[in-house]
Amino acid sequence: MILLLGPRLDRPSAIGDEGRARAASLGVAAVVAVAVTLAAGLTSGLLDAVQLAALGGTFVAAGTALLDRDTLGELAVGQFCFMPGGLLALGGVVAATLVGGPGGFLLAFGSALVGLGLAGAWANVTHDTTVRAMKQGWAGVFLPFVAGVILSVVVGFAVILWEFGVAPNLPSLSTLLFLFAFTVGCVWVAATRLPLEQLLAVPSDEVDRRRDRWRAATRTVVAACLAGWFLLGVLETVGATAGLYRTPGLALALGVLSTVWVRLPVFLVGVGALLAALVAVAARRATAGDTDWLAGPTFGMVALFALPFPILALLLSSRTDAAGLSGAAVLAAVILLAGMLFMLCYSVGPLAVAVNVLPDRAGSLSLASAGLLVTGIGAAVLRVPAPVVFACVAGSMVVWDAGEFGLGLTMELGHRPDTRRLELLHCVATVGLAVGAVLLATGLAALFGRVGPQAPILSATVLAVAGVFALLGPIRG
Amino acid sequence: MNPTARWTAGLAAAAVLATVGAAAGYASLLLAAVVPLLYLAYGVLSTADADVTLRANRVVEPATVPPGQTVSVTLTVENVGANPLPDVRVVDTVPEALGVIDDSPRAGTALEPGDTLQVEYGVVAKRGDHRFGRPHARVRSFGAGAAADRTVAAAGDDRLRCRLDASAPPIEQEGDRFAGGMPTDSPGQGLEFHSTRPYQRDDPASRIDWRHYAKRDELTTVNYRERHASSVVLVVDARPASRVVAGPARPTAVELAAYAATHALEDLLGTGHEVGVAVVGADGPDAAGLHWLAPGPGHDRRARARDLLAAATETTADEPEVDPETQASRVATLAPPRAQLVLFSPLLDGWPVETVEAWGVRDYSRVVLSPDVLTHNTATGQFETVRRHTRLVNCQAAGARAVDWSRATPLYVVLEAAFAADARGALTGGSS
Repeated sequence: MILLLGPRLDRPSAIGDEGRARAASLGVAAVVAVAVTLAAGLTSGLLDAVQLAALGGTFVAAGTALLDRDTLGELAVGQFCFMPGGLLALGGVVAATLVGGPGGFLLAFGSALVGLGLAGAWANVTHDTTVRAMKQGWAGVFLPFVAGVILSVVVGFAVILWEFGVAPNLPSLSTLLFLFAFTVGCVWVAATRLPLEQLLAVPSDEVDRRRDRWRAATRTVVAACLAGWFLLGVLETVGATAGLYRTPGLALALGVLSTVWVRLPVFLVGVGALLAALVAVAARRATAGDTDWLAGPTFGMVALFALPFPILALLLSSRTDAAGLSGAAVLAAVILLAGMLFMLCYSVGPLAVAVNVLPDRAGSLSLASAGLLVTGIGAAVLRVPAPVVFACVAGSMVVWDAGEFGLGLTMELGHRPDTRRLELLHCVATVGLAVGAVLLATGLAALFGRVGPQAPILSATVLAVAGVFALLGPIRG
Repeated sequence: MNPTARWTAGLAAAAVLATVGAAAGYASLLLAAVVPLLYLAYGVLSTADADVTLRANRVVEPATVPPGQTVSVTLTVENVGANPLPDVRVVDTVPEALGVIDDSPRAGTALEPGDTLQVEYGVVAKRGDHRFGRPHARVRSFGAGAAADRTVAAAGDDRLRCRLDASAPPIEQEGDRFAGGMPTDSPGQGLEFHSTRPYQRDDPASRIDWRHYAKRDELTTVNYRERHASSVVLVVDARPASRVVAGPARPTAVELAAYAATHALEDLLGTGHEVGVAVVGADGPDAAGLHWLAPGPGHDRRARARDLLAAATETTADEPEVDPETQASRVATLAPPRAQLVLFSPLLDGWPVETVEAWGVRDYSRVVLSPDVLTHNTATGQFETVRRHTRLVNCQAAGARAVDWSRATPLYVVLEAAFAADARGALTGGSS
């Protein structure tokens, strides 16, 4: 099933002191987290937004794990999970905030963290993995700007070449020389980049000799063309060649040589050679496995727009009047900004690990546990029934306890021994404790509700909590 | 007993909930702080007793092995106390020099009184006497609130002996397969019929052909194919280039070569040959730095030869560099005329082929026995395999009998191929 759905996320280590927590522990943690999150979503009336945020977080974790891989396919799938997943989570949080205010924001944000943390724990996402994904993500967000600049330069050069080289207004020999210089230069680049040894049935030594001769010849031709272009261009500009160009035979020949039908094939040869060289370079890079620097950001850029753009366009087309090119540009800009916002939020994670706020190996579990705590606070702000708030907090404890236990097992015993019995026994203990804690808190809430006004009860509870802190400190040393 | 420090985060969670609840006036949040506090209290109050009664027994099967053989280790830990143990994790202390290749020496489970936990794993034997340590056990309370560590005394086997002369089972069963008294083309005493000749005075009566005498009334004497004891020099290639392993925790090619040489030594001595030993590539007491034991009689020869072969496996990178060409020439100088030189080498470079060719110039018969330590599942490994096979063929072309000892082949089969009677063409001198 996993193979049908795509690349495997987890690469368990055989050494034993690395890798994700054991499966049974993570399974119990995941079931508890999903149940509690859904309960919070249902009771708050923000189920759709919560689901969206949690799903987005899960996709981001899957993408993070896959962006640590080397093959192009895994990189592409990773980017198509990472960026759209981030936008999905962001969309869920924004929707929940719009509907539920700060409580909705906390609820959806916590749910996104739960999805991100749990999926990250399953996929064995570590600090190094997140750093690499962060770099790829930022590169994907910034690539549209870089690509825009490069595209503008290329288009500008092409327009100049077309206006002055391919279709000049006046018959001119210098522009023809410039066109020749461009074409021969492109052919020179192609000759140096194309795998001629593999394509020609000629010994490689012979190919090298011919290539060297060809390079020398083309270099000379390009230099001569550029020099001629410059000299003739100056002469043409000052009008020194006007008389010469009016000579009957030369005028006819120059007229013919200045038509588009003569110059276009020369131009196309140059463009074709340049494209062939680019394809050869790209293929060589792709097959050498040295593609991260370009392929990752390219896939990131494509993933940023390929899925969100049509979906948002479809959703917004029925609700707004904006359409056409300007509407598309606005939508693209919004997506780009949302991508940058997502990357800003995402970058907090690796930064938190770097400054030791989050543990590295247990970072994903901490995130999931903290997410449930935030969800609980959001649920309290939204005034959902108190047992749901308690369940969220208890779920947070269960996720941390079971996950950390499973992680400890992996570190102490490795992946090989069968530890299912041990894990399930521990999960029974921790879930039992969680149920007991929820019942106790619910009982206390009911008791306080009956006893009297709110303020004294709160004060008494604060005192009780402080008392417990005061007692626990010395006991724990 | 030591409480685990896993609930520090719970303390932080309780503080956050209490602060937010009190500041914003959410009673449910304030009460929710009870939940992490309950976990915290549970963790603080949990205890784990290090003095639990555990009994361990270890079985090492087989306990004495040659290098490279997989040894199965089974550690059984039993809860002999009256209380159930909810979380017991056991790690066997594997000798440092050995590597685990099957399963894991670690396990964990919950143990009811009388229940046992079995840890089964396999290690690859390397030469030496290896002692297993006491297994470590970590016991946790229910809910893993506290943990206690202890070591458990293990009954049963605590040693693994890996010896070069450890018996490979089939060798004894095969009997005298090798060219013990080496058959020659000379007529004389022996077992195999060769020819008849007229009777001469002092010929033993047992060799008179009585049937011929009954028919022709002439005394004739039967000649048998004469079997001569020969001198064999076992040369182990212990150069740094040969001190390689087929994989993690595997024995080096030098160990395998020494193991094969030790078995050849036992069998050849047992069948009446004079056996000498030379170690090339290690710094020895000889003028050329050679470890050398000349072929000859003597009761202590077997033990001295074994010690020499064992010394070959103990060479390290710290030893002074020696010139293997000089040592190989020295072997050819020291070996008796018409001796058989048997080179044990993994053939990982050109030196063995050149050496075999050089020995051929002096008309020694030569045998090359090559343990295969290359990996075959990588491109570079396959490339090296091709080169090694080429070297084997080159040794054969140089007149030596070259035998490839692949990892799947038992040693006795390889030795039989190297020293079988039908190989006498190569063994009794000259190129075959």
